[in-house]
Formats: sequence, C-alpha cells, structure tokens
Amino acid sequence: MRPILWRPLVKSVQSLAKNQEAFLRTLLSIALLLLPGIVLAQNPSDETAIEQDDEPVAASAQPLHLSFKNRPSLHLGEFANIDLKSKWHFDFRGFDPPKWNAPAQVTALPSTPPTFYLTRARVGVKGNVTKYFDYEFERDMRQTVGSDHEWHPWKDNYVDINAHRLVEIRVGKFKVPFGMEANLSEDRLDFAFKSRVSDVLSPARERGVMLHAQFLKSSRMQYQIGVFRYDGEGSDIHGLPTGKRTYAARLAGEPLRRVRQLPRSIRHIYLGTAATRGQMFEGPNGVHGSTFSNFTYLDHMYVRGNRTRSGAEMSWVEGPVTIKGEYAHMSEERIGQGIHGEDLPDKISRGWYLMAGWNPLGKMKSSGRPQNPFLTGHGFGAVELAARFDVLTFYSAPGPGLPSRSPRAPTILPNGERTWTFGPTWYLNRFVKIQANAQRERLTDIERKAVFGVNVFWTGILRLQLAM
Amino acid sequence: MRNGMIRFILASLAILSFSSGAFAQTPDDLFNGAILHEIRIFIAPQDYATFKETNFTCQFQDLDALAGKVISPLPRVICHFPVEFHWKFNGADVTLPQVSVESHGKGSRSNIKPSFKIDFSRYESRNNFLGLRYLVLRADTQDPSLMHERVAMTFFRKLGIPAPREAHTRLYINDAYAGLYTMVEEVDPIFIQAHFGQSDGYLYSYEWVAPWGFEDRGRDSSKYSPLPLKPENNVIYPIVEPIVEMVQTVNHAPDAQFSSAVSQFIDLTALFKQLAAENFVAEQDGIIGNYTMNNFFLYRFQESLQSTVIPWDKSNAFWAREWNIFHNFSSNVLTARALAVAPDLIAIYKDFLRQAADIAGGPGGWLEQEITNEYQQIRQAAYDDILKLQDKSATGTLKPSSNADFESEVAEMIQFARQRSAFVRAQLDSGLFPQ
Repeated sequence: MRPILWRPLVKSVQSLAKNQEAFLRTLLSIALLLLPGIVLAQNPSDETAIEQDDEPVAASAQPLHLSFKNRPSLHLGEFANIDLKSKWHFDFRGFDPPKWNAPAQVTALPSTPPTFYLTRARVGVKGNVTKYFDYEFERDMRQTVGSDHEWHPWKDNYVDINAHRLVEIRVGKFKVPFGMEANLSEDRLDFAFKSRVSDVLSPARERGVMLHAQFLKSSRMQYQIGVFRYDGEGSDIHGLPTGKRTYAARLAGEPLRRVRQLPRSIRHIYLGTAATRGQMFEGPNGVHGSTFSNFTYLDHMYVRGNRTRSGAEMSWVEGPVTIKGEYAHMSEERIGQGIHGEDLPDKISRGWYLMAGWNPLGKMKSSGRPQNPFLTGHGFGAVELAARFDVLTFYSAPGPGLPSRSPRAPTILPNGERTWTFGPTWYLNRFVKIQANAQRERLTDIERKAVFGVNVFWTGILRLQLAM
Repeated sequence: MRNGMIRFILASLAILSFSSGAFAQTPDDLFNGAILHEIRIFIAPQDYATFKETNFTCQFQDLDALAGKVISPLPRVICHFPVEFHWKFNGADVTLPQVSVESHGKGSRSNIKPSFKIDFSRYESRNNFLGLRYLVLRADTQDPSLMHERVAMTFFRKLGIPAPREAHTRLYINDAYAGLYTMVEEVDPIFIQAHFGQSDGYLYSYEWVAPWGFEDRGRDSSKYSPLPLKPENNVIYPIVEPIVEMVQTVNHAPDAQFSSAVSQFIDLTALFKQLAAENFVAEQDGIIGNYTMNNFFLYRFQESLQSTVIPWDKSNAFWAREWNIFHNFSSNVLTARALAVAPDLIAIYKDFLRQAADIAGGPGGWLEQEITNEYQQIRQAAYDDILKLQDKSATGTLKPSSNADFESEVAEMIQFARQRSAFVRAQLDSGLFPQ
C-alpha cells in the first residue's frame, strides 16, 4: 500500500540508525584519518568568501562597465556597482506516510502532496555605493511564477553603512544574528533543508538595526548586536509575528588561533555564541513542533512574557572533512496562562545538531565551490557526502499536576523529534548543485502521534540548484 | 533533588487519588438515566470568548476544507480549547484537569447556548474518561422538550440497535449554570469495538452538504468521500472504492438479485431495522428524512465490503403522530428499489415496525413511561435554564424557548407515545403502499 520509492534506502538507513552511536563514531574516525590538506576555515555564514572567490573581472577605463564573468554586474566606475543575483531551487519530493498537511492552508484531512516544488525563485541585486555603503535587495518570485505560497516574499533588503572599521550599521530586513545554519545563505547549505533545530528555534529574518564588524583580525572575531521590530519570521504563525521588539547579540570567530600551543588543525576551529530576548504577544503563540510534512505533534502553547534564546555554534573544516554543530535553547514565559489564570512554568525548547561532511570526489574551495568545475572548467566538480543528526525537545520547568500536552498545561509533557538527514551533494560548478537527501524524523512522544499509528516520518528530496 | 522527590511523591499520590476516583465509576454510571447528572467545566475566560467568536467559522471552515477548497489559515481560527472537566457523581468529584473542548453541531449551533464536544484524548492519545475518548454535551437547541434525542436513542437501544447512550446533566461553566444538556456517547472506534467486537474497519460520518439519496454519482470516489462520507479513521489510507461499488450496486443491480447484490455492501437487516425505528419515532431528519439522507454513521467491517449504519442526532424525532410508514421511501434510490423489487426487505421492515409498535406500547406503555420519567427528572433543571432555544418547525432559525414551550412539547410527546403505535399498526394492517 505504501510507496516503494524509498523502501531500499529506508531499510539500509533504518539499520544504520539503530546504531546511531556507532555511526557517529565511524564518521568521526573517518574525519580524523583525513586531516591532511588543510583548508583555512572561515565564518560559515560569512558571504565575503564567496565574493573573494569570484573570477577577477578585467578593469575598465570606461565609467560604465557591464560584465558577465561571475554574474551580470554593472560597474559605475569607482562610485558604485550593481550585481544581479538569483537562486533557484527545483525540488522533487516524496513522503512516507504519503500524506501531509499542506502549508498555508486549512485542511480537514491530510492530502496527497505534489511531487515537484519550486522551492526558491529569488532574484535580487547586491552591491555597493562608494566604500561607505553596501546594499542587498532580494525577493522570492515563487508566487509570481508559480502557485506556491510565500508568507514573506521580501528576503534580505538592507543597507550597510561602513561608518568605522569597528562599527558597521546595517538597516533594513535581514537575518537576526542567531544560529550558524540559520544565518547561512540557502544556496550554501550542506543539505537541502536546514536542521529542525534551526528551523524552529532560530528567529530568521526581521526588520531592524544592527551594529556589526570584525575585530581582532588575527582571530577573525566578529560581533553583531541589534534590535528588531518583531521576533523574526522563524517564529511567525502563518506570517503573523508572535513576539514584539527583540534584541539580539552574537559573538563568533576563531578565538583558538591565539593559542599557539594547540595543534594547527584545532586552532582554526570556529566558535560562536548568540542570544536574543523579546516580549511575546499574549495567546497561543509559543513555537510548535511539526514534522517536515506539517503534521503537528506539539501545539502552540499559550504564552505571555519574554522569549529568550541562547545558543552556541561550532564549525571545523579540515581538508575534505567538515564537522559542524549547534546548540540552541529557548524559554518562553507563561504568565497568567493557566486555565484558572495562574502563572505557569516557562516552556523550554531545546535542540542541537551535529553534521559531518566528506569530499570523496573532487576538491572544494573555502568558498564552498568546486576547484575543478564541470562544464565551466575541465573537471568533474566535487561530491560531498554528509550526514546530520539533530534533536529537538520541548518541555517545561516542573509545575503542579501531572505532565500534559495541553496548551495550558502547568507541566508540559516532554516531546520532540530526532532527525537523521543524509545524502550526497554534487557541486558541478559555481552555478549548479544537485542534492539528494533522505530525512528520517522520529517523534519521541509515542503517545502524541501526528498521525495515528505512525511516529516515523520519511522525506526524500532531489534538488537542482541554480544560483549566481 | 529534595524538591524533585517531593514532586514525585505528590504526582504519585495524585495519580493514585485520581485513579481511585476514576476507576470507581463506569460508563454505565455516566449514562445512568435514573439520575440528573452534574458536569462542571472550567475554561480560561479569554478562551471562552474566542470559542464563541470562532464557533461558526470552525464548522464552515472544516466543511469547506473537506470539499477541497483552499482555505487560508488567516485570520487564525482556534477551534480547540483546554478545559478542566468535573463530573459530580454520588458525592465524588471525578476530575480531568486538562482535556480539550470544541464546539459541536450544525443547524443546532448557537453562541447563546453552545453544544460542546469534549475530547479526552486530544492531549494524550491513550487518555480516556471511563473508557470514552469523547463526550458530546448537546444543548438541544432545536427541541423545546429537550428530550427528543435521549428518548429516541433509548428507544433504539431497546430495539437492539447500536445507538449512543445518553443522559441529562446540569452543566456549569466556570461555576455559572449554563443550562440543561444531554450527554451523548460519541460514535468512534471505542463505540464500534463495544458493539461489533472490532474497530479496524472504516468509519465514516455522514456530512450533509447537498441532497443525496444514493443516486449514482459515477465512479469517481471523490464524489462520495470525504464528502458526504467523511472518514473518521484511517485518514492516511482511506479506501473509498467499496462505497463506489455499493452505490453502483444499489443503482444498477438487476431487480431479481437486488437484495443479494446489495447485501454484499450493506447489512440490509440492520439498515431496515434502523429505518423502521426512525420511521416509528417520526424522524424528520434521518436516513430517509425530509432532507434526504442525514444523521448517521457508516461503518465498513474490517476485511469486508459490507457496511452497517449507526444512528445519530434525533433532535427532530417525534415530528408527527401520523407519519406515514413509507414516508420518503420513494426519495431514496435504495428504499425505492426495495419497495419496487424486494418484497423480502419490505417484509423485514414491516416486522421491525411492528416490533417497535409493540415495545413502545400505547397509553401507559413503555414510551409514555420513559417520556414521563425523563420529564420529571429534568423539569426543574429545564425551568432553571434561561438559555433554552428551539426551532420546532425546522425553520433554520433558533429562537428563545419558554417553560410553556417546554411543557407544551412534552405534552405533544406524551400524545405521540399514546397514539403512534396504533397508527403504525393500522397502516401495517391496511396493506397500504405509498403512491
């Protein structure tokens, strides 16, 4: 009765998943054996590496110069330049169970999902005006070219004012500085989709003002501190904000570079920490848990008070091996949210992930592009094999009464999911990438099933990415 | 650590105290018709306000979604609310601290006196209340007697039809009297298991959206489910094809094989028994009511093509004493063909009608006694209920119901009980068939 699309893959991975610890040990062993071929790490969410990796464009004496070397780019002498950028993601997906709750739609019964999705159709411009201003404007055109719903079609839309070496001011709409993966451009992700931890606990984009800059260049440290209109699109419910003004701060870099006693391969490990805090709108506005196919396993809890996030991130790139991990913790106050109006203990959402990647074929540049590209060069590109394990948990501080899943429960019965994601990525060249991922979500609270009788959900994705 | 231990001990004591309270009672106690029950629910005041705001939206949104319409989740509509549930019984206060409530009903839906569906398992899939996963608190807003539903279902069960158990209760919301309600057992897999010894078949509720009397809508299964036959279980892997085949057979089976062919798909004995019961109580809104088919569940037995019917919502029963025994038979393909080509089925139907007349009795018979007993039990609670509503003539508009309306309708019911059996017997004996 069920589709056989993923059955062979599912069986082999199920057996692997049974020995998760052994699997992780194996991955780590492979990583340690592949230490040679050092590639200097950089902030994983730093876009400057991409720009530095661009093919050099011949200088022109003309005041107006149009080039197509890396992307359509208009140079107005020394005064300004305008780069056209675009990202397209074409996805083929399969689900098991083969039903879902379509996003942005009220459904009385689960429906059969489509197979093909235009996941991203983004077009934008990016550039600078003199050395004092950088800018970026980007919009998702899915609704224009297709029927897919998009709550927030405007993406990064900001201006950076380079006021001082240690103070840059970013104004507009951009990603709240929380979460390494969440702050990474969608075309640079190791997997077709972000971890559930990043999806659920990171604020994503919001309108605001942020001070940021690099400091202690030898340690590649950078800071970001900002204030935002709402809590970010990540915690939205159907496009409506759930939190009011939110403050965020992040500190990241490679602080171990200064510790000369450490082995070189350890010194360039990237570390970061971040936090946000803001008041929530009263009501059923807590972040909720749902599978990738949109089956809810934890309802939006009633909240009132502050939402506070704290997180830590780590990235280590050594030759063909990449290891990344993040931890995020979110607390949401529930003042006066009991059935009788009593205060309830804070709701806690917590998660982490660990991913490992390995390039068995071809070499990658630090920018995440292949050294020997296919079609645009004379190589094959590069292939990366990657696996990620992420854990997301919801619970509350202990309160009176028995634990329950009710949205006004004094003590929230712990619930969450454990997700394995794995698959190869073929980086053909700087413009094209193909990813084949399988994702296995297992709900930890077997009594609160999103679908009766099922607590394991599979998603298969084949993605073609065109980006410039 | 010490605090944790204290909490563990307190939680254990709570479990023990709740368990002793809950396990002392049974569903038979909850639906014990000999007493007027008392239920109290506590709901956050802001949630009750939202409940009334979204009361009608939830119903239409759900139906539109079943019809395949794309419905935006904005504005955001909340339809389920957490409540604390108390059932006072024999001096005990049986409490469930976190259960869910949603509004209930179609034409009977009201913000003045809303009906509720209590979901004991929404926050805990294995949770239940005395073995029940749901409990409907029906406001009886169309029926001025507040008794049609309970009397009819009690009569059905007396006839051996698997019908929901019911009992009256005083309902208090946040300690304020909300009115006289009828507690109704939900037709769900637990009900199915109790009556048929299995529950892994396919259960559908009939959602009235347009008149349909088994006419052939073709072989497209989407014409039959999820509307009007809404799957209540197996929603991921629904198998609708047997319903398509059932309709095809009802419409196109050769006359000579009509009974045997259709009986592959429907338990015809059970169906005609229920038709007889509905006709006897002059059900105006049932399987062959005045609006074509309505108010029933269909359960297809596991590993079988055959389905059976289960009655639901008898608010519009006791419509008229002189309700023809073949009322609306010609408006439904199945009953019309049975009348034309299947005398065996009509004989079964007549037998059940006669049984119904025998059980109901005449003046002073079982039916009159049941009505009188229920009336005496609920009279004061009904008088205290200042939110009573009614739609006696089925106009589609609910209006306030007075104590005089209540008394008048009860008197009508007693007259019905005294005269209906004689009328039915007379029609049966006359050999009349509808024109």
